[in-house]
Amino acid sequence: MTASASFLHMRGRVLEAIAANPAVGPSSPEMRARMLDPAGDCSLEELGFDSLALMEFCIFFETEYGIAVTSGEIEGRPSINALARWLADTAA
Amino acid sequence: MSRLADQLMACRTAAELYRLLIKVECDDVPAEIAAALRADYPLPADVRSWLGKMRTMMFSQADAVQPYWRRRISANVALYSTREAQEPRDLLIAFCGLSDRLQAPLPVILQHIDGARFDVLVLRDPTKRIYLRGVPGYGDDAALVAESIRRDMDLRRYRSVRAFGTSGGGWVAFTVGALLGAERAISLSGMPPTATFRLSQAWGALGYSLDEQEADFAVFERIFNAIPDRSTPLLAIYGGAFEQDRLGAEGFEKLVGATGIGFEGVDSHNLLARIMRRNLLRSFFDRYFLGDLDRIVPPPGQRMVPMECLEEPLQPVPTP
Repeated sequence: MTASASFLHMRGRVLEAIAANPAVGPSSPEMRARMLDPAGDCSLEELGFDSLALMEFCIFFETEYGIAVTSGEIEGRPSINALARWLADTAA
Repeated sequence: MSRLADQLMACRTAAELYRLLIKVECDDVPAEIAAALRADYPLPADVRSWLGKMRTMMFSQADAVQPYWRRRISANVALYSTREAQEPRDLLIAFCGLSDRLQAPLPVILQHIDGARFDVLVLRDPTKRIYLRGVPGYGDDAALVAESIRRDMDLRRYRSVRAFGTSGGGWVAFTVGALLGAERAISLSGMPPTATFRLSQAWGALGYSLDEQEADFAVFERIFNAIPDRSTPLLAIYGGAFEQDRLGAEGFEKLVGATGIGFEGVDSHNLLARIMRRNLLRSFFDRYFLGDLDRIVPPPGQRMVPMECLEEPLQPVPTP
């Protein structure tokens, strides 16, 4: 898989993890469009992430994809694209 | 010794650990966190970091630990009270939002509410149906939830009742508060279910889990408007620069005459997190749970208040 394809693959998984969490998500159509567009980006804070949402995200990733991530690692990559890029690099 | 630290040490996977921490954030009392902070265990770095954040959120003002204990009333209802409770006491009825907590970890919230004065009844709807079908196992709609509270809590022994709900719990706090003749009811970052429905149609999913064809989004207006005495003051508090919650507060103003109070410049649904960052949580609760309405409600025609208002000392209303 190319770096770009790997990034898009992980971005899709990040979006799935966000969609699975009822407490976070876009709060306007503009934010939703930005979130879905790989050329755009969205910070986890503006999506409403708090400590609990971060932990839910980690559980989802480990149980659904077998990828163990910690909330501390996510906090260091606080946007959808930064997180997807880091996950793609880690998996390479 | 710390029961929580023992449990944390026993976790085998990250997912197991996080499930436990989520349960603690949604359910536990401040004393459990304080004991884990004192325990000298070789906890994983992630847990130490989590405990450090809890310490910052809970004990930055060097207060004594609020000695709440928990009594389970039913699967989704728990009463938090202190063993050395003074009489008479006040009852705070709190409805959690979609994440099953009050916009912040419950031990943090409890640490900032005076346990010498309040019993705190915490209710949640883990089905993510924003209470449109009540509290599972406790009452199938808001009116039945109020009846169950009346049955279980012996309200006559309380000096006052106040209701509080965050996000999806806001409307039900208004309804149950009014049904029980509460001293006041507060919605934090909430909106009427009909507004939630309209927004979800226009903006996309808002997180709740409902069959929109079958759900009764008008249940709030229906139950609220049938209450004979609707004198409970209703405060709809929200982040002033967060469009979704501004619309929610306006909906409450129009439907049930609530007073909207927007915090200037706060562009987030999670208003309490912003207040917590400024170390003003105790002041927020004192002001809006106990403060004189004439002093905490903006003048007619205004709705915005600056965050700095929480830095001003405010005398609580004299108790009746």
